[in-house]
Amino acid sequence: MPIHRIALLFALSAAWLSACSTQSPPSTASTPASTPAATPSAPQAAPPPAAVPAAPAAIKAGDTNISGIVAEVTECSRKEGVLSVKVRFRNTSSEKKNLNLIENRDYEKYYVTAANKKYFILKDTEGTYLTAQASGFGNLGVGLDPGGQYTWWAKYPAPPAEVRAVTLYTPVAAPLEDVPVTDR
Amino acid sequence: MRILLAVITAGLALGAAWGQSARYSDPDSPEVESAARAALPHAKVLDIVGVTLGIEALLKDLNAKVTEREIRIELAADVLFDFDKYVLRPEAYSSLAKVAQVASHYPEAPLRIDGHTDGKGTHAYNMTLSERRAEAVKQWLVEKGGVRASRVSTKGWGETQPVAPNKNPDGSDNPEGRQKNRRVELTLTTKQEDGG
Repeated sequence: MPIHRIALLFALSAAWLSACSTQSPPSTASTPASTPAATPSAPQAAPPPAAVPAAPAAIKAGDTNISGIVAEVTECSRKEGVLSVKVRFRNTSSEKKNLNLIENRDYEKYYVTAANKKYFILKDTEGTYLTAQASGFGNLGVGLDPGGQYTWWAKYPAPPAEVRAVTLYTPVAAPLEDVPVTDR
Repeated sequence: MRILLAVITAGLALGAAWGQSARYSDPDSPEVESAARAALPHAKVLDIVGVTLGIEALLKDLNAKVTEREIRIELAADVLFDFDKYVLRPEAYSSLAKVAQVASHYPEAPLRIDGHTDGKGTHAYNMTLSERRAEAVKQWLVEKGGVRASRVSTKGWGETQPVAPNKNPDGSDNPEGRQKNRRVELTLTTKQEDGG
C-alpha cells in the first residue's frame, strides 16, 4: 500500500476520534448567578442573559471531597418505577478544580439506599448504564472553572411508594442523606 | 501491512469505545426514559444485611421484653425528643433503626406505638403531646425504616399510665419518676390471639 494511503487512513481515524471527543461531558464554566445556594466565595459576575433558564433549586446539598466543590441534588423523582436523580457539582472556589466522577467505569459506586435496600443504576439491554457516560477509557472527569458547574444524572429502580426519602452514595462525597423523593 | 491493519483496527475500536459516551446524553429524553423502564425487570437491588445485627442482639440492645405473643420496647422520651417537643432528635435514629430491623423480622406483625408523658402540664396538653410523639415515631419508622404504614397504629395516653410516681410521698416533685414516665412504648404483636 502506498504511503499516502496510509497517511490518509491515519488522518481519517484521527478526524473521527477528534469528532468523538467533543461528546465528552461538558463543564459549564458560567457563573451560576441564578443558582439559589450560591456561596459568598463564588465570584461576582454580570447578570446572565435573559434567555438563560433559572437553575433548579437544590433539594439537598453537601461538600464533596474536593475543597470548594459542592454537590447539590436538584432532582430525586419517582415515575413509573424509575427514580431519576440529578446532582449539580458546583465550584464555589476562586480557582479551577478538577473532579473525577468515574474511574474505570465503576458506575456501581453511585447507589441509593432506602428501607434496607441498595439500588444500583439501571442498565439497558446492552449493559450500558443509564447515567452520565464515562469516556471510552472508562473515566468521567470534569474541569470546573470558578463558579462553573456540571450536572451528573442517573436512573435507578425506584423504591416503594411509601419510601419518601433516600440516601445517595457517591465516591466523591459523603453520603447525601434524607434526600426527599417526589412523585411525578 | 500488518502494522497498518493493527493501527487502523485499534483506531476504529478506540473511536467506537469513545463514541459510547455520546449515548444517553439527555436524561430527560424519551429514549432514556424508555430505556430505564425497559431495564427495570433486570434492576440490581440488594438487601442490606451486612450491618444488620441478629435479632437477639437487637432485642438485647433495645432492652426489649419478649413474651410468647409480643415484643415490647420502651424508649425514653428524653432520648427521642427535646423537652416539650415532638420532633425527633438525631440521637433517636439509631434506636429507631434497631426497632425497624426488629419489625422487619416480623413483617406481618402489627406494631402499636403508645406515647406517654409525665404528670406535669394539663391533661389535654399531655394527651396532644403524647399523640404527636407517637405519630412522629411512626412517621420515622415508615419513611426511614421501611415499616409498612398499614401495620402501625399510634395512641397518646398523656400522663394517665405512669410507671413511676410523679411525686414523692411527701408531695414533693419526683424528677426521676417523671423521667421514667416520659416514654414511648412500641409493642410488636408477634403472635395473634386465636380467633373464634
